[in-house]
Amino acid sequence: MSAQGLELQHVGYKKMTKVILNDISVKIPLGRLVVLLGENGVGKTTLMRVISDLNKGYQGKVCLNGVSDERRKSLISFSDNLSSFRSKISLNDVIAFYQQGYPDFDLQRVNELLNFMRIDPLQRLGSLSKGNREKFVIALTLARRTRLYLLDEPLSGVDIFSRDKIISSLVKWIDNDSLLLISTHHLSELEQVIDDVLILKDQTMLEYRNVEDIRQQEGLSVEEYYRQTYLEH
Amino acid sequence: MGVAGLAISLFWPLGMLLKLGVNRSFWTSFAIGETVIAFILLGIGFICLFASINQVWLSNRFRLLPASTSQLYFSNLLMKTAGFLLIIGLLALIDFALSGLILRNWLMTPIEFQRAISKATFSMTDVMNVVVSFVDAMVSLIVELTFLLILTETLENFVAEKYQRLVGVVSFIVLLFLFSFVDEKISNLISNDIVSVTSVLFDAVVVILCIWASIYLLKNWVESRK
Repeated sequence: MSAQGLELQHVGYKKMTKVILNDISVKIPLGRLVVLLGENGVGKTTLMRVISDLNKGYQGKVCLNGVSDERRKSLISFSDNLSSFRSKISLNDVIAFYQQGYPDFDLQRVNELLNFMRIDPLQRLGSLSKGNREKFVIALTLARRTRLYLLDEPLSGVDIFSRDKIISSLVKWIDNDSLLLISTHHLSELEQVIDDVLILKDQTMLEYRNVEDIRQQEGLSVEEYYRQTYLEH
Repeated sequence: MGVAGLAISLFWPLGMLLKLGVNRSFWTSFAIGETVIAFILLGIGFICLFASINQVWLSNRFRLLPASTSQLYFSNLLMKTAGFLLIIGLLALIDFALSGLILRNWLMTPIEFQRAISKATFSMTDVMNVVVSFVDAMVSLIVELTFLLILTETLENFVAEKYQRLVGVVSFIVLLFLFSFVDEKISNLISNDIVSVTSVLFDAVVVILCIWASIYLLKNWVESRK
C-alpha cells in the first residue's frame, strides 16, 4: 500500500557547486492532482527532471510505485517541449513516434484530446503558435495511460478561454489510479480542480498540503495561503 | 547526404565528359576525382554519424523513452551504423559498378579484363582477414569514438555553462590523442600483425570496456538538454 504513489527521500541536486534542490522528502499517493508552486528558478523544472530520470547525479531516492531505478520512466509521462523534433515534421508523425515509443500511448485518447483542443494533426510542428504547441504537448503527455503525469508550466502561452477549458477537463483525462503533478503560475485558475499543493522555496520543500485542509483549517484560498506561507518563511 | 553522394557519383562523370570528352585523360581524371570525393563524403558521413549518435543522448525525446540505458545505447549505435552503412554501401556499389564498367570497356579490352580477373587469386584466409579487419575496425571506431564523446559530455558537466563548448572541443581532442596513443602502444606490445587472434582479442576487450564505461556514464552522468 505504502509503495503506491510517488515518494521522494532526501532528494538533492547540485550543478557544480550550485545547489538547485536540497533535501526534499515527500510522499504523494496516487489519485491526486498536485500543483507545484514556487518562484522562477526555485527548481520546479529540475525536480520534474529528477523525477523523470532526465537529470543525473542527484542525491537521495525517487520511488514511484516501488520502482526507484530507471525503469520508473515507463510509469512517467513528462511534458517534453518537443525541441528535438524538426519543425517541418507533421503532428501526425510526432504522434506516430509516440505511438511506437510508448506501449501505453492511447491513439484514440490523443485524437480526442486534439479534437477537444481544436488542433489539426495534419499541421507541421513549426507552424504551431506557442499556445497551440503547448496544447499539443499537453495532448501528447495526457494520451499515455500511465501512473504519473508531469506537466511543466503547460499553460503559460495558452489563451484564457482555452486555459479554462483545459483546466476544467483535466480531471477527466487523468485516471483515478494516476497522479498529476503540474507546475504553474496560474494558481487561481487551477484552484478548483487541485487536491494538494507542494510549495518550493530556497531550493527545498516548504510545504505539502491538502487544499481542502487549507480552506477549512486556515480559512484561506490556496493563492492566499501560498502568498502568506511564502512571505512568512 | 546519401542523395548528395548519389548525385555526385552520377553527375561527376557527366561534368568531366563535357569538359574533357571521351578519351584516356577523362577516365584518369574521373577515377581520381571519384576517389577524392568518395573520401570526402566518407569523412562527412562519419562526422554526421557521430553527431547523430551523440544527439540521442542529449535529447529528451529519446531519453524519456521507456527503455533501459543499455537498450538505448545498443539500439542507437546499431540503427545509426546500419543506416550509415546502407548509404555508404549503396554509394560504394555504384562507384564499384562504374569503375568496373570503365575498366572493362574503356581502359582495358574485354580480353585484358578477363585475363586480369582470372590472374587475381584470393585465398579463403585473405578474404577472412579482410572481413575480420573491416568488422574489427568499424566496431572499434564507432564504439571507441562514441565513448570519447560521452566522456567529453560528462566532463562538460564539471565546468561553467559558458566554457562547456570550449572544454568539450579541447577535451575531445586531448582524449582522442591520449586514447589512440595508449591503444596503439599496447596493441603494438601485444602483437605486430594487424590481423592476428591476439590483436583482435585485444580490440574486443577494449570495445567491451568502452561499452561498459559508456553505459555507466550515460546512466549516471550524461543528462539530456533542457
